Amino acid sequence: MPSSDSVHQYIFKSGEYGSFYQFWWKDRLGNYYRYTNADPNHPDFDPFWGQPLIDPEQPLIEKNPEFFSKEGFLLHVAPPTGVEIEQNPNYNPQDPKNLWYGVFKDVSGLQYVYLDRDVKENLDLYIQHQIRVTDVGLPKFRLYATQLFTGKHIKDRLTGLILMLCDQGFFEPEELVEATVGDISFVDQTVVLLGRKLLCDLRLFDMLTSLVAKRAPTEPLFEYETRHGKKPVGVNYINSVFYSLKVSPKFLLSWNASHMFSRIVNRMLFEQVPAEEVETRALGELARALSTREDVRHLVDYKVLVALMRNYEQAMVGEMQEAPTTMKSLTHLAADDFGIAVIRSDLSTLRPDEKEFSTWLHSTPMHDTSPAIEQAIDEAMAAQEPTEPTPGAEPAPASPDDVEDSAQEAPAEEVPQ
Amino acid sequence: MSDAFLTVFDAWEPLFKARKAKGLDKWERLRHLSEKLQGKSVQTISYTCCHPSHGGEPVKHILGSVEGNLHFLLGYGNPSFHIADYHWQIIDPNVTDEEAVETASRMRHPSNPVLWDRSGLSASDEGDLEEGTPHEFFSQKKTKEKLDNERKAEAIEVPSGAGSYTAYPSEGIVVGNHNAHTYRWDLVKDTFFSANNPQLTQAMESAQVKKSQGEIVARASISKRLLGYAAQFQAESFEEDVWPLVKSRFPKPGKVLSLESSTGETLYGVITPTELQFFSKSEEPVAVRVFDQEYTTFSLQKSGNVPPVALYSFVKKYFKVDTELLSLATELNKSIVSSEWAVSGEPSPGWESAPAELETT
Repeated sequence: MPSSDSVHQYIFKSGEYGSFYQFWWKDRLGNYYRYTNADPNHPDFDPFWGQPLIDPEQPLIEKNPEFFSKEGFLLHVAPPTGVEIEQNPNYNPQDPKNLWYGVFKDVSGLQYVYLDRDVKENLDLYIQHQIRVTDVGLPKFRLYATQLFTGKHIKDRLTGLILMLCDQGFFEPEELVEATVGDISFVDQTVVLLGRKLLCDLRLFDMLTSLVAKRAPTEPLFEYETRHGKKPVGVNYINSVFYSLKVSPKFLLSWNASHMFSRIVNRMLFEQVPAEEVETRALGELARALSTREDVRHLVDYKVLVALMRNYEQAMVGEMQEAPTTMKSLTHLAADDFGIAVIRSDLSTLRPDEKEFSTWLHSTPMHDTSPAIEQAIDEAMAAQEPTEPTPGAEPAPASPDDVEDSAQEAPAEEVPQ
Repeated sequence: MSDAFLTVFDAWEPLFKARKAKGLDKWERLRHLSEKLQGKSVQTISYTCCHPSHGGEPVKHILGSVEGNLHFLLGYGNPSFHIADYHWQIIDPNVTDEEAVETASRMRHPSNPVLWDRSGLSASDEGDLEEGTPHEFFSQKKTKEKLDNERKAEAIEVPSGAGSYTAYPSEGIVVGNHNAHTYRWDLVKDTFFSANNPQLTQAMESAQVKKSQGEIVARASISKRLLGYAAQFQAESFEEDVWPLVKSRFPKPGKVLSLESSTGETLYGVITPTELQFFSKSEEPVAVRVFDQEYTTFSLQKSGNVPPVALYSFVKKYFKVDTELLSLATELNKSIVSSEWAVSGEPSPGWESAPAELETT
């Protein structure tokens, strides 16, 4: 096992968490390391953050060797203990179809392994990886939000509320911290916040009504008492919470949009919407649910969209052939209402439909591939390893404070929910 | 009218024959039409035809000719022919001005773009380019072509990682050329991709700034200096002789009202225990005209300088007072105040000498 290379060079900063940047330095082998700041001679250097220091809470070769290949390359995920990675003989970082470094098989199926540097340097892999990182961090994020919301201090409660609104209400932190008392109104049990309707449970409703009681419409909606008087919740503070939970607000929105699109398409399958209309109609419904006039097509993950459309056509054909009479008898189905976001203050984990979506997400390769190629690789793996996977093989212990690199893969599913 | 005229507009021949007995010179409608065509060239009434009888060759027809009218109305005309109202009158001179307008609005453009596309002929602008309009399909196609050209012109292509990507700054998207994956810029900015393509990043960011500038809705904020000035009155309450309507509707002294003048300017009103002081955005005292009087301060007292009707009108407007409810409340108050009330009961110990009933109004 090679030892770590201490000669690091600053390459770029990434801004998944708004104003909280991650500064990435590279060693001579091409592995990236997170630092607290850029090179002092680089324009990205921020004097506010002080001298650049390596972040100890990330996979390092001395501390987490399971995250490194035999050659010393940092992997995007640690394979389970005792499971060998089958290297891709055609690995080529310049070929979109052969970007994957290796593959291993566990109880959930075929899992692809990528080099961390490829994930960072390839836009397609980077986007796919970020969506999966968000997915992995979401249960912890929700648990933390509910804990904060039930706390005693008003700042904790406000933070919990903002996290819930970002997650379940599809708001962005920037728009929430800029919201004023005049931006919220109540119509019976419905809350209209920043022009978007919400349904909340009683505890959330009480919290929201308490925020506007006896206050001028121009005052900030989210503010709390400090030693220096009332201060609004700032965007940097909220970004720091997102950063600590390793959930990016913008990829959270993307994740939610992709999942909601998936549910809409699945519902449309029951409604027997023609395959040529389903995409347009589902995107229209998604735009209405998100209360936006913007083109929401780009909010939905491309892989989700392609997989759904492909499976929709197959499912429609299959259903027409197998049980045409059953489907014809369905004259009315109660449809889910995606028009209004429902926010619950006690949601501390993924919902069942979200779990299914999460499972599908982790079983889908991040690089461009096709079912035929995947099948060929699967068969090749089966031919090379006739024996069953190591019994009792468990995922390697990941760095506890680094959710990003501990994204665990999950079993395969055909249609995401 | 000469015979040469008839050789061009041969569709008019039957009409001419019918009108000849009465005298063509006395035909007012024709004179009116000829006035309309003054200064127009032959090109304004000629079009390219794709009728199958022409064997796929572009043949020019003139409206008003038998073949020209027939092929045009059958839909074989060039969709990019700019048709104006008077063209309907050339097709048939009996059509009046009003009827021409009506026909133009109902029938729009008679060209059939499907037939034109099948012919394989290229469509270029014809007809009356000043007064007329081409077929809707053609104008849409032209707009799309224009937009496509603009899109191509602004596209920035960069190689990155395993593929190459094209960015469209005005749309805020980045498209993978190798797999057609489309990403919003907010997901892509501040990544390895953006750091390695600084020119692309600069173009995208400046386009985003331009876009956001067009969408910004400025929210007026009250200056800290004015708020500080108003804060000195915060601990006080309204004087006794301030109008009750002011006491019930105005915020407490020490607050700053944001007011809008009839000309759309934003003014600020600082509430004191006895007055409303007006300030401009630049924190200067400003005079407000009410009828023919100018005020830099509104006295809120009964003995003040503002006529009650003006103050009432101001409060009603800015605090959205429902006058019907107000009059109802006034009536109720009057009836309560004017009614007699009485307190009766047994005297308390030691107060036996007090009268058994106390009456007052």
